Amino acid sequence: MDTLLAERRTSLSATSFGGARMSSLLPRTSSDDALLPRIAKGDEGAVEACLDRYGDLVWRIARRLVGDADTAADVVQEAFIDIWRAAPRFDPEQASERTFVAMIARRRVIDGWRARQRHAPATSLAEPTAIADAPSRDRLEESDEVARIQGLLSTLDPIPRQVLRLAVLGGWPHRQIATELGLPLGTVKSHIRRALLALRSQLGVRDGTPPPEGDAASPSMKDGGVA
Amino acid sequence: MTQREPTLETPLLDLLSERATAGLDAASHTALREEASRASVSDLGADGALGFALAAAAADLAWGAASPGTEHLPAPLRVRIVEAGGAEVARLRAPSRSPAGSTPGPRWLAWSGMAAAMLLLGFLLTQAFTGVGVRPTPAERVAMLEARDDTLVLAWKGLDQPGFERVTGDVVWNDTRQEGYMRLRGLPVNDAGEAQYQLWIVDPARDKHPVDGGVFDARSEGEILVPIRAALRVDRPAAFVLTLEQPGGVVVSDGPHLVLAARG
Repeated sequence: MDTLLAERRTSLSATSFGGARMSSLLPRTSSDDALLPRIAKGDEGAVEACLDRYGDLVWRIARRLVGDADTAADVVQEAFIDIWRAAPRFDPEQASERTFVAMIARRRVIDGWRARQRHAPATSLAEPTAIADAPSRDRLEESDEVARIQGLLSTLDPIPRQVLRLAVLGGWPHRQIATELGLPLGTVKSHIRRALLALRSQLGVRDGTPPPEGDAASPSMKDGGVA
Repeated sequence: MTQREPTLETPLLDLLSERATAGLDAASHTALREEASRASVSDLGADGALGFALAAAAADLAWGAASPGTEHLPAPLRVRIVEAGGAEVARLRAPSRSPAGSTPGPRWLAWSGMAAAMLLLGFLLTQAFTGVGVRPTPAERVAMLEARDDTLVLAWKGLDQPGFERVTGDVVWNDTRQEGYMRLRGLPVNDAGEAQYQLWIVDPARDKHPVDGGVFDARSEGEILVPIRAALRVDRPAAFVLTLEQPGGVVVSDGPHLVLAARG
């Protein structure tokens, strides 16, 4: 067993983990009040604090994406188990804790809904009407990250913004978005790909690979073109 | 580190985009594996998935902040998660800590703990009588599944890898409910920071590639009960296989098969 683990460890350490790296140029969450490092150390007291801070966030993501409250309850419980387990991998240099939690939660919710063979997406085609303040418990750095992303999203033309919104908030499959909006599937894919690349760039994530020709991952996306 | 990684092609980026926003169906999942293999991307299962999942989460937060919801995590669910979280987080604690009870705490701590337990018991009893928020334990779920005629039970067999020969137990899986559990005895303890066990479900009728059944840790070599978290629907599994992978698991495993449960 030890030998096998050692071999596997060597093999894994030599593996590229996708190369997702964050730029250190952007302000990041200080680890002072981060909860995941405490959870990673086995601090059970941080569990309730984590639920206080992120419980509503994860619940709303689940309710929005799966609709049904019973299913949402199941996937939220599974999501938090995933979050505890992922806690040792949280790196405040890579993302804010809130974004990391949302990412883990979204993955579990999406996987859960796929496994349960749902659904009719719950998100409407309507645009949100107002920009409100982030929840007050958000720390300054996280609010700053949200503000930067909101700024980037506001540069999108209306159609790409609507396409991305249906994909991200509604979890709509690309083909369904194309059908609903009467757009070619390739155009939908292109809008989402370009938007996510630009968001990724804004976050400072890179994988060491340049985007394909024509996929400008610049912070501004108001070029309106599609691949 | 100046080594240049290969340029990712548009189909792979599109599949990563859809995976990050809506998830993938079986056919797209297969396509992702093939595209990733073609691009020599060996890992798509880590947290970032090349940053697409993170980008989607950031957009979700930005729009979510723009339309803050009014719903809150239900209290009974919160209690349930705290219970599950306490056990899970306790398992993360370093094993070198003092064993419980070796240094008795102050008497008030014991009393406050007892009071908390009584409160929790009262709450659970209330929930039981009102029929709200009470769910069967995993062991009860296994018993319920085993009582069904359409539940598959397969025995684990440790394969020819050092330390895994004596692994025993079984897999309990129900196609209709898409639910299952692994009972494992003698599985070597892993260091979750370095490697995690990953379950693969082989269903040749649906795909030539196995379905990811979730990652988990063995915290003791005694019997452990692990829920199966199939990423995709599985209709007629032929076998279940355990491998040891990087933390968080992988999309395509190149590791040796360690333990197998297969139809005869």
